[in-house]
Amino acid sequence: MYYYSFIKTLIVALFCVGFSFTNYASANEVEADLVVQLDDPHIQIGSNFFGEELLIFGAFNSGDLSKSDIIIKVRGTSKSISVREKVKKYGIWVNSDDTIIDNVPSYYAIYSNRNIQRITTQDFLKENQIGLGYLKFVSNEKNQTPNIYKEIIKKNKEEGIFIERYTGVRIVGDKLFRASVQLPKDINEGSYDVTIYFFDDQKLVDRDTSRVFVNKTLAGKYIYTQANERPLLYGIICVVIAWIAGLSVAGLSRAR
Amino acid sequence: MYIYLPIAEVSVNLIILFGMGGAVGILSGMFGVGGGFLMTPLLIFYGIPPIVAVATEANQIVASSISGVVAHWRRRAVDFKMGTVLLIGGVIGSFLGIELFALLKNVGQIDLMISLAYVLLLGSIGSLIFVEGISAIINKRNDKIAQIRKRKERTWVYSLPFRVRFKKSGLYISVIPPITIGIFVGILASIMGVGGGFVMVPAMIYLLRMPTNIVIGTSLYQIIFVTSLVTILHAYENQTVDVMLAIILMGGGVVGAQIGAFLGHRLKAEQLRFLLGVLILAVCAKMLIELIAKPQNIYVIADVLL
Repeated sequence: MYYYSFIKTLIVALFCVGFSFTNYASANEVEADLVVQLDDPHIQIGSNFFGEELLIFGAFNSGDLSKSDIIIKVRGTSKSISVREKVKKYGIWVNSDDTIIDNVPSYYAIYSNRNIQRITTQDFLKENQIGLGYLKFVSNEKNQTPNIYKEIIKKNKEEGIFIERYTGVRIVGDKLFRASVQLPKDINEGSYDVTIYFFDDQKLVDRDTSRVFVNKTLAGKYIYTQANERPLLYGIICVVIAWIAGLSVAGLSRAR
Repeated sequence: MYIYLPIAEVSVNLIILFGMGGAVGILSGMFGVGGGFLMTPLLIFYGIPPIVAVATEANQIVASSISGVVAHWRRRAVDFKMGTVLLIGGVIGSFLGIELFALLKNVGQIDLMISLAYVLLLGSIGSLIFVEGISAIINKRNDKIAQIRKRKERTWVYSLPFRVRFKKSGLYISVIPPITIGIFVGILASIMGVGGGFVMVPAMIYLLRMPTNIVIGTSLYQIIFVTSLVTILHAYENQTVDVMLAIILMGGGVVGAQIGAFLGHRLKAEQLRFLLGVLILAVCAKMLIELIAKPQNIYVIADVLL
């Protein structure tokens, strides 16, 4: 395990060195202002999955390092969620009717090298939904939604599904950056959009978008698919397994 | 050591789960109870979604009941005719229970319903066992022999129509009471993920007046088929049976039941019953507190399934 992560870091380091050389070699004719590399665009949720980190590294072409900033946004697919408020009735807490909130990301992370409010303007953050405060949820009901939105963000933050880390991007040297984005253990399957914004003096110089795919590994995926696509057969197989288990235990205890 | 459960969609600690299966297995080996009514709450406390806990536990009970019934069957301590009548009721009850389950799930109240059902059931069963255990201990201290109730006393049950002869049980009674008991147990199985032996066994002894020695075998025989059906219905209607979780629990349960059977011989019956009562009441109290205490999160957030 340690060995593996060591190798990983080594590869990243080599990559970074490579980047810097190419940049030095062609100091003035660099066309791209931002070059990005993802460590592993395919992530597998195995049966022993306990979270993973997504390594993002790259190089930017900065004029003045003190004014250069990097923001990384990772966003999972949007989904709809139902929110029910608990109300006390007859002495116990029961669920009230639900409010449906759409356009909630299944995963959302903002990593930057400093507070995003100081990197760029509020308008830009709002427009690009950068920052937990700027996520645009959609709801059919108007009343009480600010509270509900706050609650959604709070809960997802606690579970590590929404992350905002203003120290998450490390600038190495004068043109390299590196971030390790945490993916929690209960992450959903699907494609994740990774957008990297490069700012110079509060202005967007370049952006780069790539995609990461998170899949369940064969066994888990197979069980999930069978359970949902052939539910009757799946149920019968579950029962057959139980019968075999029960009968073999009975057989064993007889043998003694 | 963590393992990802594909249906429950959570990562769980394999050793803790196996241990839970084992602990409940020990209890069922010691007390001769199925253990579903302890396992399902434990799974919920651990963080398994209640609807998955209920459906998967039904699946595990199939295995533990089969291994249990074989011993009774060898001793010819199963009344198949009575078991089948109970089963007819159980099938009706399972379908009713699954419908109720789906209905409550759609209005978002199923978790509450499961908790409430557990508080009611564990509370009443736990208090009964607890009181009986205490009085048995006191009686023993005073050197009194517990009075055995007259068994052949006739009750209203005997005045109902559709009477059938059950040779093995030595009964000639109406099929209405056993079918009604079966229906009730079927509903319990599908909503709570329990076998229902703790309801069925007393009902068979005190209501139907069946001989005590064949009661457990007969109830296990009924439970096997009812929980098999409930598992299939949950898998079909709700897709909530997690086969991975079920296998882990079966494994733990098998090991635990062997240890429990061994321990059970070393402890006195009254002490056992007292302990069981305390345990059930403790689980009940925890469930009750979660219903009454101000919840940490006022908002319940869930994915909308399309």
